[in-house]
Amino acid sequence: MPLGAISCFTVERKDELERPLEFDSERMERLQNGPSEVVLIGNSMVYCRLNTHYLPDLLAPLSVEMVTEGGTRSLQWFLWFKNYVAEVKPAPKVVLILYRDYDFGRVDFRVAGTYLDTIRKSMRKGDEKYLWIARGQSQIRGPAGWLEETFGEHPQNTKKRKRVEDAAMDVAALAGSLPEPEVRKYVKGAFSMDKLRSDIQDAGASENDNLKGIACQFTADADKNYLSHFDQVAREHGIKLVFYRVRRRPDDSNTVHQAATLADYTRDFRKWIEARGHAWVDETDDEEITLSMFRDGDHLFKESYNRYTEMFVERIRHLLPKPYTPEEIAAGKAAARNLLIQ
Amino acid sequence: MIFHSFQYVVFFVALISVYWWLPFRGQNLLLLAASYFFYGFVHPWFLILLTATALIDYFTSNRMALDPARKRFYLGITLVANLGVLCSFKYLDFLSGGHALEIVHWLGFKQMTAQDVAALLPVGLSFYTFQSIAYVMDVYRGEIQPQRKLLDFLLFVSFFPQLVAGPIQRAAFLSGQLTKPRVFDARIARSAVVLILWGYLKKLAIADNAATICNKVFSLDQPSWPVLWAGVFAFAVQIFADFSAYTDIARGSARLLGIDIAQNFNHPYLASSPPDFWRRWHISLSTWFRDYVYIPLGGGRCSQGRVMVNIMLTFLLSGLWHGASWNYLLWGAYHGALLVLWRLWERGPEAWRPDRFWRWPQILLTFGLVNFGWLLFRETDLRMLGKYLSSNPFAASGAEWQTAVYLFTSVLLFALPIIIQTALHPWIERHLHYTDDAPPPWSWALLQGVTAALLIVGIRLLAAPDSSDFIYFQF
Repeated sequence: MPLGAISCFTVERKDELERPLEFDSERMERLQNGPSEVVLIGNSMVYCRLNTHYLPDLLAPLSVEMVTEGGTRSLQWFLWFKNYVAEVKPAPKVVLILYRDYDFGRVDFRVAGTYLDTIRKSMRKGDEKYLWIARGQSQIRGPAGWLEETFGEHPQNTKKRKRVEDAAMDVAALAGSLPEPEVRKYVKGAFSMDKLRSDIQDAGASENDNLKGIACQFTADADKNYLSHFDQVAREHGIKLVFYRVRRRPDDSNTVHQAATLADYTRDFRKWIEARGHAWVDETDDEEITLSMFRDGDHLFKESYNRYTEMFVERIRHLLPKPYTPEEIAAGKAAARNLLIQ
Repeated sequence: MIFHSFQYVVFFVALISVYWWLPFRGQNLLLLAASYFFYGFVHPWFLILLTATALIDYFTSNRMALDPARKRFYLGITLVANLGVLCSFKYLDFLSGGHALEIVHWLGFKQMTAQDVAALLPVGLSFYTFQSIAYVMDVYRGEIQPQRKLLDFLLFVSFFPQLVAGPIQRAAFLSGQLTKPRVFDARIARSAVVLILWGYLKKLAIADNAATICNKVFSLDQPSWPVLWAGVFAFAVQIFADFSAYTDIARGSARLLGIDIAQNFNHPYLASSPPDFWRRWHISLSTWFRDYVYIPLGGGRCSQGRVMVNIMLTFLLSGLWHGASWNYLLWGAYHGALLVLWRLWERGPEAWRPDRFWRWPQILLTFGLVNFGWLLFRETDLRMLGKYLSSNPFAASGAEWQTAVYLFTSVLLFALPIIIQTALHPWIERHLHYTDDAPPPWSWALLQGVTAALLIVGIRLLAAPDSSDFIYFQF
């Protein structure tokens, strides 16, 4: 009987969960309205270290756009890069990705729950294969694959849990003056990333610290992580990538300790990046970014943002491109219009 | 190895498929090997500590029987060994004011990082240490005879279903079962399967969903008063569902092996007073503290002032048992104070005594008091705790109250199976559990089959996507 009960609920295909959700076209429009020569991709390492209002002033006359969301990792960054940033006409000339240590090695981190929804909103048709990389499913066969298929996250499960939440939302709407859509909007805002404790915003970095084994060995295997996919998209669109490794929180002696495995990983990572004509910047050993600038985890005090932004710009200055010519912008806008018409 | 992992299912099915074919001594040998595999699966290092303390306890307890004149000395050895291990691994950082890493480096292990030091703490250390201490104390008091067979004693200490998070078993109860041949009973086995599935439902569909809501609230930098308390309510549901789920899976697994494990929870949120709560919550630990701390201190048979001191001391230690952190100490002190105040209330003017009130208001009051305790238990950052305690309910906007209603209702809906089970409890007790006047086996089997199917469907439909470790693993 229990097996019968299970089979009733496995008829629906599990890959429904991996299909793209409604594409977040607002973000696309915003980027296209730029367009910007320089784009920054990342998580709180962008907006909790850089003064995002001051940075455009320092980079002028270049235009800069930031595509960030707290807690995101390499799959989300890749999807933003492929489906938004690289699709802008004219394409940006330089894309900087601000990352920490093993961010590109550990692809399975933060690809479930609410993160999955955001990821699916950045997916286009056919992008399911990138999710499979994160889940390591491209290799899963046999009993383990059957088990994942049978007991893994399931669309019916998501629907039922959503119904519970919807029912609770209805009750909440009845309990006060705000109608249900307003309550929903308020709840979403109440738990947004900027309302969280700063140590929580920074969570994940410490989980990366605890990495052992597989992810510590560098690989750019297309089935294991997104590095070669980044490279391929960048080549197709003539974009120069800059992998920018941020300095982690130093200890009392203003030193950032690195395990031998991390040093090896970083060395191999750099070699791979530079062999492909992209750039790599590492501020890990920059002692001018002192402990006193850090608020919590790897986030900085707001008072340090300006100083850090200036240091950041100095470090990337040699990588900055020339501004778009009016012809490039016109050609790009025309291409975008044509795409819209098609 | 954790209960809600594929490895455990494979491990347990493989174990059961061999277990019942073996003779009694073979079963015990297999159980011991399985228990060591189960525990060593996390980290082989844990086995060294477990075996070392078990060997000390085995030899001291046997020496007590052979040399009664020096049994106090042997008890001392056991206590020093067990509590020494517990303090060294669990409380070193707390007692040294956060300098554990420096001490480890000073001892010569300069390569170790803070993560390495944290990883040294064996899971379940507090549980099996307390179980061993209880055993040696019982031998010391002459309440039980020491276990002569080393294999059986090692099995008593390391019996895997309850090794990591209890319930803490008494030797008189568990050891007796481990030394007797066991008979397979299909009716008991069926009830065990239902119990295990009920445990999985509580963990995956209730505790983990409540945890998502609770974690959200406790991630906020400045939650409003109603949102905070909706989060605390979520934690109350989470911790009960999580911990009792572990107990149910442990009891179910043990029952499939023909061994009974004592109950650890008895509808604690239906308690009508703080003392009643402690008779229903984590029963194995409460009774441990009662028998090995509170009563030896003098218990309730001394002056009123001394009784209060005894209660406070017992609960402070109970708080500290949960972890080397100030918030657990605060939580213990809070519950101690609650019991002291309740005791005073019970001895107050007769017209105002708690038993003069209706039962439901008492239950609600107790639940509210317990929830305040959960806030102290959940928040390890004292700065944040201060922030929470100073939040003002009147400053919350209507939208914040509606947000709290949304969170509260979500938790309540996810907790519905527990509410239904609590309501149906008397009926379930009569019909689903083994009694001599049980209905004919076929109707039993049918009922259990339907229940099992419903539980599987519930797990399948409501399991949270992100499952976490059992909360009590950290203790």
